[in-house]
Amino acid sequence: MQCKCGHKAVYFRRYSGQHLCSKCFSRSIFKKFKDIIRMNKLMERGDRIVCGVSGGKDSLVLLYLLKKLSEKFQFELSALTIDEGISGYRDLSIPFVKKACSDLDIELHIRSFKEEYGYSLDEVASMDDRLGACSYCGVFRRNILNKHARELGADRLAMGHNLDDESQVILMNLLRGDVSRFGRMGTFYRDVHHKFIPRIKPLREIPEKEIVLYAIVNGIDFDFEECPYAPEAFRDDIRDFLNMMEEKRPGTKHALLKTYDRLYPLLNQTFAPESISTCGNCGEPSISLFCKKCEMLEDIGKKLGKAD
Amino acid sequence: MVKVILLRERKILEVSYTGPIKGLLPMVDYSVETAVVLRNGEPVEEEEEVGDGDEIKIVPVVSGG
Ligand code: SF4
Ligand SMILES: [Zn+2]
Repeated sequence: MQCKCGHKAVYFRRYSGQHLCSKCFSRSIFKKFKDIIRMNKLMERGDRIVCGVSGGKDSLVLLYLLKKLSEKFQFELSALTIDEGISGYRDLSIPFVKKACSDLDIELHIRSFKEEYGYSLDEVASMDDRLGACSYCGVFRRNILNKHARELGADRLAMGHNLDDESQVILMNLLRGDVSRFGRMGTFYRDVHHKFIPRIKPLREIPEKEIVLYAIVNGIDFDFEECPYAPEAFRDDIRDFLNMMEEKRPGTKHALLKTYDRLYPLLNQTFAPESISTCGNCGEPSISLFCKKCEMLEDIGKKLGKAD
Repeated sequence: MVKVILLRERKILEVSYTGPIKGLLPMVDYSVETAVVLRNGEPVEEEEEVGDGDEIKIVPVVSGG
């Protein structure tokens, strides 16, 4: 098949019926990315944007697109990488981040669980309790990203979640009956706490497959590895289901996200926490007296002994 | 024979197949949604044909994070 420009198509976008050559495909991704930012007012000229980068395809494509945009639309851009301390995984992906940042001339900051909390995720996972590595990892990563983005003077923290990530989480929360989480997943969730850096997700309408293709046609080298702790059977089922539906009914994932986005203002009104206070221990935003991270650290300290 | 390189599995298979790529994908446990396909090094639409002597590289859609 041919692209409408006459070149050979490399991609059939089934949900829109377009056959696209690599140039027109890349252009369409950059346009979509810009549209998401503009229509949702994700950033302003002069903002300081910190991009969370893991070395996987999503965050590296996001970094690349942000860099490209920063050449036209003035804003400051830097990258923040969290080293959870997962051997055989993060130690392999960080070199990809370093390479991308040096190629794109972007300042990179790396922070680790070990230096921040005294324990690597591998050490925490060795406790082998019922919570599982991902629960600790998620809470710690959110905490450290927010804290360091704030220390870097960020106006926005940009994250690389794609359409598949977003539609999976929507369906997971729906099937779990977790309605309160629903009020907190929009494109631009501004928390009601002055220490919380608003997160933006400029890729959330772009399918995961298109992120991979974009990385390939633009020569963005990324890490293929998957985290050894990523066992989430429930998410795998949801992913398989959504992929099956998307294959039968192209546009399913977009429709799910759109439905969510239209409900979001109502959900947010009803379920967003009324006020967020400050953790009595570390001073970071918290819903209860002490934040989740501090509670977890205390628990870990009891099991593993105090960190040095 | 089509040479199929599975990047995630780090495997190379020889598959006897002629026809559109989308018909080959289920034979190696992939689908249009879960793979980006390179034919002889170039990304291609899954409607395209493959056959004897072609090399197919399967890039997994899910990775990292
Ligand atoms: S899969 Fe779990 S442990 Fe691994 S990086 Fe993601 S949240 Fe952390
Ligand atoms: Zn074209």
